[in-house]
Amino acid sequence: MTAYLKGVCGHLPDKVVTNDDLVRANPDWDSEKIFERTGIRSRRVASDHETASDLGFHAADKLLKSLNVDRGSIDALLFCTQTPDYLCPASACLLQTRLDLPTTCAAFDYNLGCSGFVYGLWLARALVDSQSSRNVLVVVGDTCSKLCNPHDMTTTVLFGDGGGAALISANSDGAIGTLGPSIVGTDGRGAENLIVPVGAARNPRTATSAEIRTDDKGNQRSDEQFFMNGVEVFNFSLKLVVPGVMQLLERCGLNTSDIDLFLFHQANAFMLERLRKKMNIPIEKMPVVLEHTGNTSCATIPLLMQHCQEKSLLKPGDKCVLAGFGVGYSWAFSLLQWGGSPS
Amino acid sequence: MPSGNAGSIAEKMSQAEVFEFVADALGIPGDGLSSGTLAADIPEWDSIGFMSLLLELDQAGVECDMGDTGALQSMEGILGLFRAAGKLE
Repeated sequence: MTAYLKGVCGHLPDKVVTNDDLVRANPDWDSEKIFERTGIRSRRVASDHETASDLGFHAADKLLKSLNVDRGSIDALLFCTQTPDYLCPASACLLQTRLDLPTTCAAFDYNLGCSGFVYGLWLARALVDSQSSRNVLVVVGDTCSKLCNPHDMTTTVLFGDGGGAALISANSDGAIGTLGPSIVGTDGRGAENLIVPVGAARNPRTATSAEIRTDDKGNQRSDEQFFMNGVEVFNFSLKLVVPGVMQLLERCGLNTSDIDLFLFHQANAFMLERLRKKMNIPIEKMPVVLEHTGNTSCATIPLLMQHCQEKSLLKPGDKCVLAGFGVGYSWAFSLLQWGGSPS
Repeated sequence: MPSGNAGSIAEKMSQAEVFEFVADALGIPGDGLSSGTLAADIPEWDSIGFMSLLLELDQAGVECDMGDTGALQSMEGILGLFRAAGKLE
């Protein structure tokens, strides 16, 4: 059974942290240099009491209101986050009630980062295709800024917070897109390169695990905070993203020139530009929209799709490749045809 | 920003040509590098420098496997990658 995209929506917290704000806290950093190297001038950051599920809620609520959907018709809610409200219960259970979804609705969390939104579309399509569900709400949200040390340039300049939501349905009425094939994958050997090492079951907090240490580049972090080996992550992107996207296109019988928009996870401008050049994609076909949001983890692609809708970058019949990749390592690539059924 | 023009290389390079290749990727003069140079010695050999190097090595067919980017911490390590790829004279 075909799975249709009924709508997609993003949500950002109100608080803005500019590069100048970061430089005030880190006088040896350079505001313009941060922009040159990341493409980011400011990022939105959740307030102290604002959680990932709050961001996901606002995106989903906005989406359901805009589509005027009967909430009783939603039969599955998938919530992607790495920053849940509680260790248990699942934030999806809290969202089910908060969004006024029926008690017949399946709801669960899945813990992924930058691949999470496309992964959710893959799973939603499978649920619709198997006729297990007719209307699946994919919600994503992350507050990675809370995991970053404000004096760690490898993370705090990159990450912002955000949420997103998409409704996938077996019903084509009013659909704005049709979900096509996907490729998903995992390489857990990269787990150590994007990690919060301490704070869960493997390495519980200790009396010293919150102690801040300074690395050889002057970046500060504790073992309870986010660590990223940017070079290894970039190497992963070069080695796996490009062939993965090519594999998807081959499976669909398409070439890069057949694709109208490449909607890639907005990791940072440098990485996107290198991936674009490596794949010989024209600049206008790969939008980059992280200048005022930063890397919002699983929320970058719904925010990007919302941007493309608002700017009328998508036309009926356009073929898009969605590409999410990151922590895990984990990746998911999907074909999306805007408007009617795929040819 | 690095020039990004280090890409196309001859089948095999001399050590001096590898220095030039790395200097090009980092956007610095070639005469500042030797086999003893460490990333920590060169300001431009920072996170962006590492990524530029990776990209240029990738385009030149010099493999740096996932988990092995530690080789990019020194000129000796990079020479080792060229050697392993059979691209060092």
